[in-house]
Amino acid sequence: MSEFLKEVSLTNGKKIGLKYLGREDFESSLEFFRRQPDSDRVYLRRDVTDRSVIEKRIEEIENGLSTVIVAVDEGRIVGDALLYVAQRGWFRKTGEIRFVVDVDYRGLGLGTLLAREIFMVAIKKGLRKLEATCMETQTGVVMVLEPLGFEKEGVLKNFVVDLHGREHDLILLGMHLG
Amino acid sequence: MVSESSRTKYLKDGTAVIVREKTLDDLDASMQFYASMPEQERELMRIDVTDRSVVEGRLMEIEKGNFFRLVAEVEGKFISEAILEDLRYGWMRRTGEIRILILPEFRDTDLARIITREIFLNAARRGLNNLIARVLDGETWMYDTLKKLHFKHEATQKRHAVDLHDNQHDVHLMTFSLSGMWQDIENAILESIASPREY
Repeated sequence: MSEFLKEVSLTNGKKIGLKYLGREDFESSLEFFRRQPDSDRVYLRRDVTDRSVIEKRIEEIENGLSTVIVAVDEGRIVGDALLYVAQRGWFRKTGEIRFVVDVDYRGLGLGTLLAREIFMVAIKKGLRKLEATCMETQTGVVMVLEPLGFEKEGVLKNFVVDLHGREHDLILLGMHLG
Repeated sequence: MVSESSRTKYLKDGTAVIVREKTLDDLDASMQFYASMPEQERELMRIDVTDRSVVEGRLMEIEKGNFFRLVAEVEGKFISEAILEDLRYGWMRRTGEIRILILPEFRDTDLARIITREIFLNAARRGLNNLIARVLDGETWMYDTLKKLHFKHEATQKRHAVDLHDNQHDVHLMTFSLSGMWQDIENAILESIASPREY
């Protein structure tokens, strides 16, 4: 793994490194997502245990569409935060964020640390708004984002399907950056 | 890719309209169509439709297969365009996004209904359950038309989009449940079987 962007402390005092995800992290990223419990992965937007999905994520980074910051502890990825911005069209000033925190590192402030770091990237990119979406089951996402200033903008009932094909409500969250 | 053949539909006033899939050969007709749209509406479109290379780039997306592009023409001139984007994978894999454009002189006809029905049929063939439309706060005609077509206004995302001049706009999210529509049709059929009318 390459050099860390910075080192941060979790609420239990443990120090971990943050870095930008790159192609060299392909296997570590895949291993991170595959390590997460099925009960969590089932609610993620894409099947990130699939190599082709990880490849697409890396390609989006290389094409300048997204930025991913990962948290690394003892050589293993333990958190992943993504900022996606369309290059043209209506949403070129609105970034979409997504993040996943390792099941063993939850409740330690890592989600908040990753979200803050992604905010800084968004501000540097000159974005005017951030959005996040999650299923109603992903309560942790709302718990991290609301204290940071995100507001609920709507709920689309039975609008998305999980990896098993079950329908869920989609919660829309938004936050203005200026 | 789901293919559609050309077919002739008739507006209530008897005007014959050819409805067909857009092809890679339609660049010139598309440019003419966009030029005929009101300037105020063009400025709210997602891309700069006065830029030929941008329009050509969008046309090339037909080959990706997740776009269904429909045009309606009268005497060789486009009067409407509709797009269904099959969002395809992940948690939105049963959702499609639609967008409809109609020349002002054909908005008081039943063209929107005809075009939308074609979109619904294509969406059903693709196995989609939901449709979503995103409408900017200035797109009054689009909003009103989708409401008439039974789209539901779900949410408004404040200052969520920027137009071609970087002005911020609210985005109205509107949805239509295809699975709900098929269920309504099935219920109506079952009801008619259960209590047949006497003629």
